[in-house]
Amino acid sequence: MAKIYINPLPVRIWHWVNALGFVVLILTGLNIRYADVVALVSFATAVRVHNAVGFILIANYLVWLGFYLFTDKITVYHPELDARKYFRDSLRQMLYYGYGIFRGEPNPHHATAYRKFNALQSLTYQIVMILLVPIQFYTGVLLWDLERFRGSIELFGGVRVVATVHVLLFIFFTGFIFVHAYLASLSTKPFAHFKAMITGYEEVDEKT
Amino acid sequence: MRLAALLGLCLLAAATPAAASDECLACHGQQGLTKTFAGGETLSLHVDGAAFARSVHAPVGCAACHAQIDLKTHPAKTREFTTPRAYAIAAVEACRGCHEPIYDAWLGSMHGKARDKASGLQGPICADCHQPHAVTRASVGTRLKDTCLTCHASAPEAHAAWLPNSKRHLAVVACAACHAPEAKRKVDLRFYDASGKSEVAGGYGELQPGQPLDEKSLWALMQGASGKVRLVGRIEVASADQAHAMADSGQALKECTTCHRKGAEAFQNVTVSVVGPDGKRVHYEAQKEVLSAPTSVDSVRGFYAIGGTRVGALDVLLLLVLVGGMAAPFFHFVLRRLLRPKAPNGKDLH
Repeated sequence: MAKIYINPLPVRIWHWVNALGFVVLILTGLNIRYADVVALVSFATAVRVHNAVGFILIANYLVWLGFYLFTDKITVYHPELDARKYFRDSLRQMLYYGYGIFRGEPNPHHATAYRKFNALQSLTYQIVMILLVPIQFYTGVLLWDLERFRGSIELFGGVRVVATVHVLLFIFFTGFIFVHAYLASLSTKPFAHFKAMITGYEEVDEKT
Repeated sequence: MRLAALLGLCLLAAATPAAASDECLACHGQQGLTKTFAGGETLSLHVDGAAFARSVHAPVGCAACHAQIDLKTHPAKTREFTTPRAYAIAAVEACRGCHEPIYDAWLGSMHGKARDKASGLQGPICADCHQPHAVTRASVGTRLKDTCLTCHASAPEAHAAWLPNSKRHLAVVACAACHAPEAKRKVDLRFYDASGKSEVAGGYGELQPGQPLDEKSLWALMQGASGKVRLVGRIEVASADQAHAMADSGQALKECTTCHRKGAEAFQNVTVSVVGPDGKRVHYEAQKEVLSAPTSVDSVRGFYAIGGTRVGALDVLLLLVLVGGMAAPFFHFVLRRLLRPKAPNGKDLH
């Protein structure tokens, strides 16, 4: 097995701060929205923690954005412009997750430092990181101080529209956490991807 | 007995109030008319006739409240009160004549009790909050909140210290909704322009009294407005007498989940209101579901209380995502374990 340096330090810091932060945001979000069912802490505490962690994650997002904007690792988020290749690779990846993996076939995608995401991951992370996460941060900031951002909220369509978008994305990210954690376990060894996100190095099969 | 007498007086005054008021306003409508009390303080006796005509007291006329005045001897030579304040305190009895339940609630409130304290602190009386000659319904505008802030000027800062989104709370929650903790609360939805800044008196369809508005009717009404108006909600106290039962600040509601939870009492009683051409607010009953139906995302864009008015369909979606998010990996994992290829020696290949 060879090792490649696939997750630089800023990415690892961003990832784990983001992971922990999102878990806290989801739990406090549940506490806030479902105070009659989930009461891990008081409503007021949940709001304060939710707001504080939200701002920490916005700053953390800027770490991620800055790293990829100012290094050549941005290639991991480059979209595949060859549509035929993209769909072929996506189909191959779907067939692997839905069939090949049960037969012990190897993962058709071979990660490199500059192309670490497979076709499905690539599209998913582009949408999540460039569209959904910023929208979630933006709506969260609007909801943090409704009077200060009254004009933006009205442009958005009203407080209820902003809140509904925030909740819909909260639901998406809640589901995403489970699936993301499971997919991270689908490697040559169950904890290989987790270790790679701690050490930075991923073991890859030399034959491939 | 006294109530019956005063009620009779009100009715008597109401018989020809306009003519009687005109007679009074012939003098009191003039600027500069004043009275100097024995203590040396001066009270303006000027009454803005136009403001009085728009007030809720216009129909009962001057004599309903100023029953002690005898036109034959008016203005009296004797000085019954030494200060304008003493006169205003005595005038509370006139308010009581028609507003007995409110008077009782006020008397038991921190405002009413403050008046009787031996410390000499003079608690607010009716005329301190309600301009007696220009009184309109409390539900019109934000005047009443502004009145509270004239004495409680530090309230915005005090709320900001502990209440998230305190400015929005102060804007859309009536002071009494939290500071009269025993009061029954309700949501009143009002039509605002698209910027959400100013209440509008038109631009939406006809509201019909009778059957409470359901979510479909309200949605259809707002569709007809083509986005030019927006429904903005306020949390208010359901009755005027309860609104006067202000408790000490230590007893005010501070528990967020009083409102921020499903089934909260405040969201069980909903009205849609408009200000008519006469300046009076007219309320139309609405079903409580207008706040939590999926259509509310569009029709009630300007009102949302986290938890309290949440849309049930989103709860179902979250549940499905939670179940699916856990079930899909679980079944995929189980299938992998069941179907994993074995080496000839029976061990897992990977």
